Amino acid sequence: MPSLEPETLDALLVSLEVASFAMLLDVVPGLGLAYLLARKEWRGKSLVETLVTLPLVLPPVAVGFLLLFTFGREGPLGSRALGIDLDLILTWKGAVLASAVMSLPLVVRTARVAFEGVNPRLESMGRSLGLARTRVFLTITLPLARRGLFAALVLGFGRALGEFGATVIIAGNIPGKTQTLALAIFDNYQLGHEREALRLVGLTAVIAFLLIWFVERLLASGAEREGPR
Amino acid sequence: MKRTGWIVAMAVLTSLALVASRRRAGHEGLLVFAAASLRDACTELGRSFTARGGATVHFNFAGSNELAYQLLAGAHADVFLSADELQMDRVESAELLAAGSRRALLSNALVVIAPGAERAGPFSPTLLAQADRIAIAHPEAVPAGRYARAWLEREGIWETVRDRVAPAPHVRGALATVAAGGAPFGIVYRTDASSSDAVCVVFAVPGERVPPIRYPVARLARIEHEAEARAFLEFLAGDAARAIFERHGFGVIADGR
Repeated sequence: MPSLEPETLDALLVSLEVASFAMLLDVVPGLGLAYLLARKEWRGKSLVETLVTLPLVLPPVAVGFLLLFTFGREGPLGSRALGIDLDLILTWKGAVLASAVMSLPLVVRTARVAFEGVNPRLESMGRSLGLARTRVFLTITLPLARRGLFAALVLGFGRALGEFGATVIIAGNIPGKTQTLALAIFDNYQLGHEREALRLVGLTAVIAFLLIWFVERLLASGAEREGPR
Repeated sequence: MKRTGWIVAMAVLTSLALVASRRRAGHEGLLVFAAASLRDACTELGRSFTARGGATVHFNFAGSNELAYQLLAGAHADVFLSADELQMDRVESAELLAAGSRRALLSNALVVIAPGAERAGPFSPTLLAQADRIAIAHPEAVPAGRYARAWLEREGIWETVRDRVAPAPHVRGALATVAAGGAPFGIVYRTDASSSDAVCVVFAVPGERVPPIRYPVARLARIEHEAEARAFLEFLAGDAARAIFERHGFGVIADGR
């Protein structure tokens, strides 16, 4: 690989850290929601299901604007209403929030399939052997679903890496602070720097390829080992 | 074996996050919101300021209207450099500026550009009325677009061309449209035109036919880096900065009022 320009390295590091934090933010609510959707019935389930999927279909700028509006100075969760300043506008924290929201549907949907793939009879056998519910979850459900859950987080990470529309609105495009690879590509396109833009596209494509290849292998080897259900 | 995958995954994520926050700690500095047209000049100024012992300077370049909106929405910045007084007024009337820090810094001029290294034949503003597309910054919001529109109105051709205007989010977007051959003409600042090899100036708009193009600068109120921000504003008013601004084609307003 040719040596990276400092600006490119900055964008790469910002992308990786934003996507990592976004997944840290998503892991509990994402997997928790996925489990509830896969295993439980409750009132309003289909409403929650739809709401969680919404960012997959809504234009990302719409989500970005909603976030800016909500967390803006005068918004319902803004510094004036809360009394404290969450410092989300035009900061890397804002980029994390935008990426986390935009990736959540992918995390939940993929993890839900993974939970649904676990044979419920194994769980009820565990319970009939006297295991507590949390123990059943931790020692039976989670290990059996682990490949799919891991794939869910990797896919979410990938989605977070590619996030643009919501991020550019709430986090702006500040080199070295909030400029991710996707934003850097946009910047270079606007400046007419074709070669830099192409190089960034290449780098992004390599990362995306590796992530997807990893997910496919993860899911394929899981299917092989555990066999048809 | 079963849990190792998870442990590895969480370890990877956490270590990435730790690396990131460690890196972040060494990445503090001034944050300057600057009009898109200042991109090249400010990038150079930032390096020069840091090289002279000043703080690291990060820039957020966008249309001044977008920057003002971001500031009103609660974004934290130390310094705001706007391409018109109107956007600075919006921020000032929200009481976000440090009192007494606002001053006029730069002046600029409009030019008509065309794609390519040169364009044959004479130019007159009536040619714009015949063009099938004209790239300018957004004529209702972005300073460069408002100046361009004011000139076109003055020439009496705004109503003719308004439907053929391709509005860009900031002046560099209009420049990029023309540079890529997306429009036969564009109206940008003189300083933008000289930043690109892919466009040529076909007409310099006389200053008296456009409202005065002035760039005000101010410190924001309630900031963490007040001393550094003061130092940066002083640096902007100094000789080293003047030389850089002038090399990029800006006029420097001496008394600042």
